This record gives sequence, C-alpha cells and structure tokens, in this order.
Amino acid sequence: MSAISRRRLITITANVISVAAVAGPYLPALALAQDNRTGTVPDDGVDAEALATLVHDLFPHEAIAAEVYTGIARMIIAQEQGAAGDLMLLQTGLRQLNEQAGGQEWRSLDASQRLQALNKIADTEFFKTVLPRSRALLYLRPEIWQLVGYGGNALQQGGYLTRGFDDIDWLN
Amino acid sequence: MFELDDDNVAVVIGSGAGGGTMANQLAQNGIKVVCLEAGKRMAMSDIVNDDDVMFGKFTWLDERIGEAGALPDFPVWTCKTVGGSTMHWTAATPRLQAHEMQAKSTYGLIDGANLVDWPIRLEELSPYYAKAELMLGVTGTNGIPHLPGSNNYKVLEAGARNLGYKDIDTNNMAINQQPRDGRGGCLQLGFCSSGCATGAKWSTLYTEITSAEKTGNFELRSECMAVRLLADADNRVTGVQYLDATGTTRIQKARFVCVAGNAPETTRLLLNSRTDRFPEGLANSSGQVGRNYMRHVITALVGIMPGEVHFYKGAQVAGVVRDETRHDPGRGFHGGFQLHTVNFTPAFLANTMLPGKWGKEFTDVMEQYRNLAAVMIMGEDLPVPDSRITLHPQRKDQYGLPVTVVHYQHHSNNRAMINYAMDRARKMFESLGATRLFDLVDVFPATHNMGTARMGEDPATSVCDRWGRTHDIGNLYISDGSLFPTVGCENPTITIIALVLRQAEHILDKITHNEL
Ligand SMILES: Cc1cc2nc3c(=O)[nH]c(=O)nc-3n(C[C@H](O)[C@H](O)[C@H](O)COP(=O)(O)OP(=O)(O)OC[C@H]3O[C@@H](n4cnc5c(N)ncnc54)[C@H](O)[C@@H]3O)c2cc1C
Ligand code: SF4
Repeated sequence: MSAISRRRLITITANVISVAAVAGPYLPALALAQDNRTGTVPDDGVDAEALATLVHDLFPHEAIAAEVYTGIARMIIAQEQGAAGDLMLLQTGLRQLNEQAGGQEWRSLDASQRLQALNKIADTEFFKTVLPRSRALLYLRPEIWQLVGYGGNALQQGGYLTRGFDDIDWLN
Repeated sequence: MFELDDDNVAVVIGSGAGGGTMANQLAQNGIKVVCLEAGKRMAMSDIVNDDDVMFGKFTWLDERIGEAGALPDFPVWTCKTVGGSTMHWTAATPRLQAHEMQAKSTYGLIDGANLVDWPIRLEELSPYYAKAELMLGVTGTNGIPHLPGSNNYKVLEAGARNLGYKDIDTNNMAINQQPRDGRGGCLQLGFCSSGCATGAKWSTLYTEITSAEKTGNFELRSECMAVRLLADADNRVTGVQYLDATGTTRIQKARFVCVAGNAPETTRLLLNSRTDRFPEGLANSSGQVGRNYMRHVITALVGIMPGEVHFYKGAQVAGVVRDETRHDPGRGFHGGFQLHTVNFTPAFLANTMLPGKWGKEFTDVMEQYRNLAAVMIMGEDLPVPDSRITLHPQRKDQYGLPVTVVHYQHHSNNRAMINYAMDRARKMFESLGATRLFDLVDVFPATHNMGTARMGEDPATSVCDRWGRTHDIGNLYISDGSLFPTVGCENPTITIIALVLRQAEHILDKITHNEL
C-alpha cells in the first residue's frame, strides 16, 4: 500500500466512521505498532512518554493504566512512520509543548500546568492530528470497553439473548 | 464453467441484494447466469464480531470522493464482497407507502426538487413485496412474529408513547427469531452491520447465491471487476469487459446484462461505457445517468438516560415509530420520517458525538456509556438534479478507472425536517428523564444510494422504463436502487428486491416470447 493510501485509510477510519477505526489487519504500520506494545520503544527520536502523557491528558480516564496510554502513543508513532514516512510532525509538536512549559519539560509539569500549555497549542496541526488519532485508537481498547461497559463480542457466550438484551428495569 | 464467448448467458453485475436476487431468479428458471462480483467470497467462519476487522474484510475502501453535503473521504458506505451490502445491512424492510410513489402528485411542485411520480403504483408492486417478504422471512409478515424488543427498543417505545405515538413495534425485519430456511436464529449479538455470524440476518451470500449454485445454471466469478459494457451498432449490449483476480482483461459475451453494482458503481460503469452513439455514457441519451442522487435524510440523537440501557445489546434497528412517516406539510416540510432504534460502539461515539471536545468533559460523558440510548431519524430525501455522481477528471483507482465523485446537495426541505424530527426525538428522551442529549447530524456516510438511473415513461427525462430496462439499450437492465424516481422514507432494500423480482418475471416472459 502506498503512503498516500495508507494516510487516506487512517483518515477515513479515524475521522469519519470510527467503526472503522484503525486497528484492522489491513494496515501494516499498525501491526508493527501492536508488536511494539510490549516490546522495545521504536528508535525514532520521538519522546513516547511525553506523547503518552498527552494522550492521557486528552482523554483522562482515572481507572485506565498508564501502559494503555503508552501503547496508544507508540501506535501513533508507528502510524506516522508508516504514513508520512517521517516523524517531523510529532517531534515539532512535542517541542512546541515544551516551549510552553517555561524551560521545563512539559511532561514533568503538574496536571493543571500541563493543561494550560496544551490549550495554547490547541490550534496547531500537531494537536489536530493527535486528538482524533488517539481518540480513534483509545476507544477500541478492551480496557476502555470494560471501563465504560461495552461487552462487544459475545458470540462464544451465546449472544445477549440470555444475557441482558431486554433486562431494563427503570422504565415504568 | 461457462465459456467467455457463450453469448447465450445472462451477465449479472454485483451479488448484493439486487444482483443476488436477479441471478437466483434467472438460474432457478433455467437461464444460464454469470455473476461478476468485484469482491472476495467469504466463508461464514470469516464473520467475527468485531467491527474493525470486518470493515477491513468487506467494506468498499477503494477511493471515492465526496463533495458538498457528502463526507469528503468516505461519502458512501457499501460492501465489496460476495453478498454486497447485504453483509453490512441491518435488515429493516419496510414497504414504501402509496403516496410516496406518487410524490409529484401528492407534494406538488417544490422549488429545487426534480419531483416525479413513479411509472408504477404501489398496487403493481405489492405482490412482489409479498413475495420478497416470504423469501426473506420478514417479521410481522406471513404470520412470522415480530422480534422481541431490546432495552433500547423499550426506551424508544416508552418515549414514543409519552408523545402520543401509536404505530410502534420492533419493525419488519429480515432477521429470523427462530431458525428458518437454512438460516439460524437471532442471538441478539448486536453486530448486524458487521455481518451476522448466525445467518439470522438475510444476506445473499448464504441464501440467493447458494440457491443459485445448486441449480447448475449459475457461475459466480468473484474478484472480477466489470469495467465496461460493450454495445453494438444496433444498440444492444454484446458483452462485459472485466478484470479478473489476476488483473487480466476478459470479455464475457452476453445475451442480456443486469447491472446491480449499487448506485455509485452502476453509475460509474455506465459513464465509463462510452460509445460513438453514447459519448456521455451508455444508456445516457437523457443525460440523467448519475443525477437525482438520493440517500435519505439520516441523523441520530443519543441521550444519557437515568438508568442503564446497554444499547449495544440486540439487533440494531429492530424498533420503529411510524407515526411521522405520513405526508403532512403542516409540519413545515414535505414527506415523512421514521424514528428507529440504533446503537453505537464506544469508538463510533468517541469520534462523532463530541467533536472538538477533550479532557474531562469528554471522558465524563464516555464513562456513562451504559446509560446511553439512541434513536435514528430516516427521512425522505427529495431528488435534486445537481446531487450527482460523476467521474473524477484525473484521479484513477487501482483498476485504472476514474474515481467516483459523489456530489450531494441538501434540499432546504431536509433542514426543516431535521429540525422538526430532532425536536420530537429530544422530547421523547426528555420525557423519560434524559440528563443530556447529543445530536449526530452530518456525520453518517450514505448507506442508501438511489435515483441515479430513474425509471419513467419519457426517455428524455428518465434512464429506464417501468421495468428497469434502459430506454436506450433493449437488453440492458438496471437492477438496484438507481431505479428509484423518489425514495419515500423507508429503507430501500425490500423495494429493490421487489422491483428485481418483478423485473425477473418480465425478463423471463420476454425470453419465453423470444423477445430477448
Ligand atoms: C451499515 C448499513 C446498514 C444498512 N441497513 C439497511 C437496512 O436496515 N435496510 C435496508 O433496506 N437497507 C439497508 N442498507 C442498504 C442495503 O445494504 C442496500 O440497499 C442494498 O444492499 C443494495 O443492494 P444492491 O444490490 O443495489 O447493492 P449491494 O448490495 O451494495 O451490492 C453491489 C455489489 O456489486 C459489486 N460491484 C459493484 N461494482 C461492480 C463492478 N463494476 N463489477 C463487479 N462487481 C461490482 C459490489 O462489490 C457489491 O458486492 C444498509 C447499508 C449499510 C452499509
Ligand atoms: S443481532 Fe441477530 S441479526 Fe444481528 S448480528 Fe446478531 S444474531 Fe445476527
């Protein structure tokens, strides 16, 4: 698949109908990202931990472990590597964030300071790319599904016919 | 099985609702049929309950460009697989109403709308609706009971009753409650739009296609993309040029051809099949091919309810309120709309429901997913001549074919209807104590594609005659939603199937009389 059509797929899936989102096996870059989830950080010059903090701050679910956010950050890095062929967008964006952090690393600020800085870069291409990308990837995670109460695939259990599809109890 | 130069075969293009039905009808009646299908054939075991996996497996992902009111990257949502979009469909099967087939006479002249009456009336289609309902095993017809109601249905029903609505049930559905006709029973898995693993939902992949195969008169050629219809000087189609799975160009000769590629692809094929006589595309002497594209007015309302709903459980659209499907201009718009159940995954909602939002205000909503209920509005869309499917002047796809451009223009009637309908939906949910409501407007790609080769009596203003045969080419039939002159507010597929059953009977009659 060409870089253009990969980008196009990512756009379709992330922005338009996220039924689609991005984790399909038809997206080679993503398969790579998933391999990396538990393995080594790709040698790419992007601060994956800072990106993970960013994904967390965009979609802060208290009950979701830090590793989940790190996994999403790595997938985004792999997508950019695969789609655009370089990581300039992410590197530049994280640098812009650090510039808002008054000489410190943005990642090491406290939560409210991080938010302040984040609000200042909300108009950048970086922010506008990372927001829908992380959203599309995060809400496909089983950890999130469990948290919000989405059961997903129940084929093995015989579906929801006997598992609560009609058990509503608060309507009079 | 059949020879490429066998000019006695019928060629059907597409294996979805229209093509699968036509192919089986012909094969059952002893006609040799070659069905060209661009997509792959899946086994039942390929169907897994995972939207994203299935999206990669069977959705049409070749480039299409949306303009104006159509989503830019993904204007239409169809399938490219054996079974076509009946793999994606959610199987609601309401009939059109009599007045909707007489839209011009009923609604009168409407500025900006190219309204017409159908060349046939409901009475003429009714027997074929009945035949189609029996064939699909539609609930609420032929003594087949309605499906049981899910939680989301019960919310819809309670809200609707609070507003005084009366015509409410779990919809006419091509979904088996009990095993029937070789298909399983519904387990309320909630994945209807990603392929039904039990086969409870009717799809041509495991009904019409397999039946046709048993006749010995039918050959399915999957991964074969029709690129051009070939015609002779006598205005007859002689064959179909296609690319097979290896990318090799082949020509299948044909006695007659039925095109059922779903409106965007049917249009593209006709426009790409230019001849000296038809420089604007085959069967396009009227210039109407691709015009009057309609897709229904589709919006949804999601509400945070006071208790848990778990709306992802259960057949997705098995629940409808029909009270607003009537024509009543007193509401400020023409045509009617259905209110029906719908459900969404967390991923879909995250990406559509809170545009531009993030942080705690976002996650607080998502964490109330258990309490969400949703209703969809599906309304009549008026034909607008400039809502149109065309070919991109430069961009080509992997087959070397010009990319489809879908230009959709909202008629002002749409906005008036949406405002009224969303207000009704809000009142329904509010009456049950909903604490927050979210509008989903302009976020859905088109799932219904209609109007681009309309039927009519006059060859100057329509593409096909009352049988769906093109006015220009005597042995070329259109067998999909492209035929609809207007669309009413009902989901289109049962009407496509009824039209195709009627068309097949007509074709068989012509064959008997040596006229085809
Ligand atoms: C998510 C979703 C939900 C839906 N729910 C409902 C519902 O509840 N009720 C309802 O009535 N309708 C519903 N629909 C619409 C329904 O799926 C379509 O109306 C119906 O499938 C159209 O039938 P068709 O034969 O015209 O096209 P399709 O079923 O799309 O089949 C067309 C086939 O032709 C093939 N093809 C196209 N071009 C070529 C070519 N050049 N050469 C070879 N093959 C080609 C395609 O690959 C495809 O397999 C839904 C659709 C979607 C996407
Ligand atoms: S809810 Fe019923 S019809 Fe829908 S996918 Fe599940 S079993 Fe099939």
